Amino acid sequence: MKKRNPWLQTLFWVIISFLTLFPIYWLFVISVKPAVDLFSTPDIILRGAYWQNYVDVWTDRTLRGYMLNSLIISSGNALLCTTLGFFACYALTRFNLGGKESIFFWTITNRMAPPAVFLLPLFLLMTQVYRIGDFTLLDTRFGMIMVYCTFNLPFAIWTLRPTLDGIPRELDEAAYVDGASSWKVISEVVFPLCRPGLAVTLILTWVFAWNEYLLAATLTNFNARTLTTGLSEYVTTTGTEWGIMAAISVFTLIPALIVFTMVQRHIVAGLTFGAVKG
Amino acid sequence: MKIAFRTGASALALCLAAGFAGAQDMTIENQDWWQEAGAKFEGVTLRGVTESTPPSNFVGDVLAPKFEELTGIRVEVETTSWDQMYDKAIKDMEAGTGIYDMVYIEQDIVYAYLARDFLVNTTKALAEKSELKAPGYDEANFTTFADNFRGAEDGDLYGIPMEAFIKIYLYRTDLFGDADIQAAFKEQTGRDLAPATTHKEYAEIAQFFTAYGEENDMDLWGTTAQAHTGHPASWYEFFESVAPTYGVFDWGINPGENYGASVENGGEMNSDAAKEALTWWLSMRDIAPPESVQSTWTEVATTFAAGRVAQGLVYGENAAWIAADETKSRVVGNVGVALPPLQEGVMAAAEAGGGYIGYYDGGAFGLPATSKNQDAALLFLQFMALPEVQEQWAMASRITLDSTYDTPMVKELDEELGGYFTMMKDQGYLFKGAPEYPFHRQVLEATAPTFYSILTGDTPVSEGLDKMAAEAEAELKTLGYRE
Repeated sequence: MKKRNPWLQTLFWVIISFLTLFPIYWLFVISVKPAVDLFSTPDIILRGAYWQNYVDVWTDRTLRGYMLNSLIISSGNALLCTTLGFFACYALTRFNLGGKESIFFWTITNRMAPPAVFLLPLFLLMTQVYRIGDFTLLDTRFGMIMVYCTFNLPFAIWTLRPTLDGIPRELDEAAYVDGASSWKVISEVVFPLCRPGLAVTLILTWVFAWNEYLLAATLTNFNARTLTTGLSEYVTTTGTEWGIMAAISVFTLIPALIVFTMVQRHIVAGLTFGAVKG
Repeated sequence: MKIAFRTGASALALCLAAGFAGAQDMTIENQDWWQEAGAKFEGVTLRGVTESTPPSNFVGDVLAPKFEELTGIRVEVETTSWDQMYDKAIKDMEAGTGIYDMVYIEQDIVYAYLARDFLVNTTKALAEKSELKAPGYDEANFTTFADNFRGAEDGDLYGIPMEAFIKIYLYRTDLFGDADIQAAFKEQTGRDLAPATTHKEYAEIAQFFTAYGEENDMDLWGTTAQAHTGHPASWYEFFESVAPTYGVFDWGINPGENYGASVENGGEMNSDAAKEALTWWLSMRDIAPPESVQSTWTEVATTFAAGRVAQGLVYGENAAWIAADETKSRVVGNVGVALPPLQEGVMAAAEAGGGYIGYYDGGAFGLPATSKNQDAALLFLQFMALPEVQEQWAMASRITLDSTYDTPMVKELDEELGGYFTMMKDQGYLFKGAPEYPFHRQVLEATAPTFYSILTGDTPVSEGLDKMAAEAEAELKTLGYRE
C-alpha cells in the first residue's frame, strides 16, 4: 500500500480546519469590536479585544431570561421527543402492527411541509387551549416544548429506528425465556444497547429546538421568549448591533459545544449503529 | 464638544443602553390624579409590541416603570424586528386574541388598520370617558405629524405619536469647511462648496468627493444611497425621498383620477419627471460606497457614521447618534443638516400645500379594538404624551409635541445638530408621511420586483417605470379601487 505524505495530510487538515473554524473566528472578531470600528475598519484581523459587548450581554437580565427559556425549552423538548420516539420505535419495530411502514412514513410527513405552514394553525390552537382561566398555552415554555414535538418527534422516531432495528430480537426473546417482564426487557436489555442512538437523537433534537427561530418568534411574547428571537431586538431602525449579536451568538454556541463534546463518543457510535447490518 | 451637550446626549445613551433610571428625574405633574385613576386597575398588566428602536426602548425602560410607580399598572413592552412586530400585531388583532393593549403603527400602515377597524378612536374614547382624560394631555399640543393618525372622515386620533423625524440631507461640516477642499472644489466647478439646493449641485458635490476619495486613497465617497436591490428600502427611498424632490408626489398615484398611476390615466409614476428622478438617483447610487446596493434604512446611517460619505439623505432618527455618540460614530461634531435638493417649483408647491419636499417618518402607539384593558391602556397612552416626559425622550431625534421644542436639552442638542430640531419645527410642515392609502403594501409588492430589476440594470428606467405604473394600476383594479 502506498504510504501517504504526512505533510500533505497535515496541509489538508489545516485547510479543512480553517474552512470550518473561520466563520466562528470571524464571529468572535466581530463580537470583540466596538460598533464604531465595524464599518470603518472592516478587517478580519483581531487587533485588541473590546469586551464590552460580552459585559452588556452578560449583565442584561432580559437576555439571561431568554437563555434560561432556551435551555428549558430545548432540554424539555429533547427529553420528551427522545423518550416518546424510543417507545414509539420500540412498538413499531418489535410488534407486528398492521401498516407499520405507513405509520413510519406518516410520521415523517410532518417534516415535509415548511414550518411556516404550521404557524397560523399552531397560533390559533395555542390561544384556544386553556390551562387555567384566561391563561393559554401561548407564550409558555410548556407550550413551546409541545410545539417543537411537531418536527422533532418524527425526527427522533426516524433516527432511532435503525438503532432499534439493529438490536437482534433474539436478545429480547432470550430475556423473555428467562422470565423477564416487558419493562425489564426494555429497560435492561434494549435501552442500554440503544444509548448511542439515544444520545444522537437527544443532541440533535436539542440543537434543533435550541436554534429554532420562526415558531418561537410567533408563539412567544413576554414569558417564553428564546435567545434566537431575542437577537431580533438588536436589528433596529438606528442600526444593527452586530457586536452584541455576535457576542450573543458566541454565548449560544457554548452550551451546544459543551454538550457535543460530552457525548461525542456516543454520536460517532450512534451515527454508525446498524450501518453494517445485513 | 460642549459639556452641556455631551451631558444631554449621554443621557440618551445611558438611559437606553443601560436601563438608566431617568424616570427618577422625571417630575410628573398631577400625581394625585394618576394615582387615583390607576387605583381602579389594580392587578392589570398592559402589554405592547413595538419595533426595537431607541424611542421604544425608552418606553419600556423609563416610561413604563415610572407609570407603574404612579398608577400601579404594570406595563410590559415587547420589542422585536420590524417584520415580526407587524406579524405579531396583525395576527393578534385578526384572531382577536387580545394579547396586546398597544401596538406600534407606522403612518404608512395606519390606513390599512383603519380600513379593517383594528384601532380604537382615542379622541372619542376620551370624550366619552371624561374620568380617564388626564390633565396635561392635550391633542392640540401634537405636531402636524399627528395628522397622519387621524381618521379621514372624523379627524379623530387613532394613534398617539411616539416618534417622529424628518428625512434630511446630512453633510460633513469638516469636509465642507476644509479650506483646501473648498479651493479644489471652486477650481473644479467654479462655485463655492456649500450644501446643495438643486440636484445638479448635489451631483457635482457627490462626484467631486468620490473622485477626491479615490485620488487621496481615502474610504470616502460623495453620497449615500439606500439602494438595496431586493429590499423595499430602496423602493421607499425613491418614492418617499427622491421622487417628491422632482415633484412626483404620493408615489405618482393620483386618487383624484381614479387612482391612475400611468401618465395616460392621470398619474405620474412613469412621468418624465419620475424617469428623470430615477435616472439621477441611479447615477448617484453608482458613485456611492459599494455597500449601497445592500443598504436599507439603517445601513445608510451606519455608512455616514463610519465617515465613508460626504453627504446623504438620512432618516432623522439617526441624526442624534451620528452627531453625538462616539461609541458608534466617527463624525461626532462634524454633522450639518439641510433641506433636500429640489427641482424648481417643488418648494413653492410644498409651501402651498400641494406637495412636499421629503419624508416625515415615525410612528404611534395604537390601541387595538381587541385589547382587554382598553381603559387602562388609554391612561398609558396619555402618559406617554405628557409634556413632562418628552424632553429626555427627544434626545433620540424624535419630537411629537410642539412644546418639546422649547425645552433646554432639545435646544442644546439642536445647536449641536446644526439646527435639525429648528428645521423640524419651522419647516416640518413641508415634509409628509406616507400617502393615505390603505393599499400601501399591495402596491409595493406588485411593483417592487420591476423596481429591483431596474436597480440591477436588467430593465431600463423608462421601460421599467412604464411597467410599474401598469402593475400598480392592475393591482389597484384587483383591489377594487379602479372601476
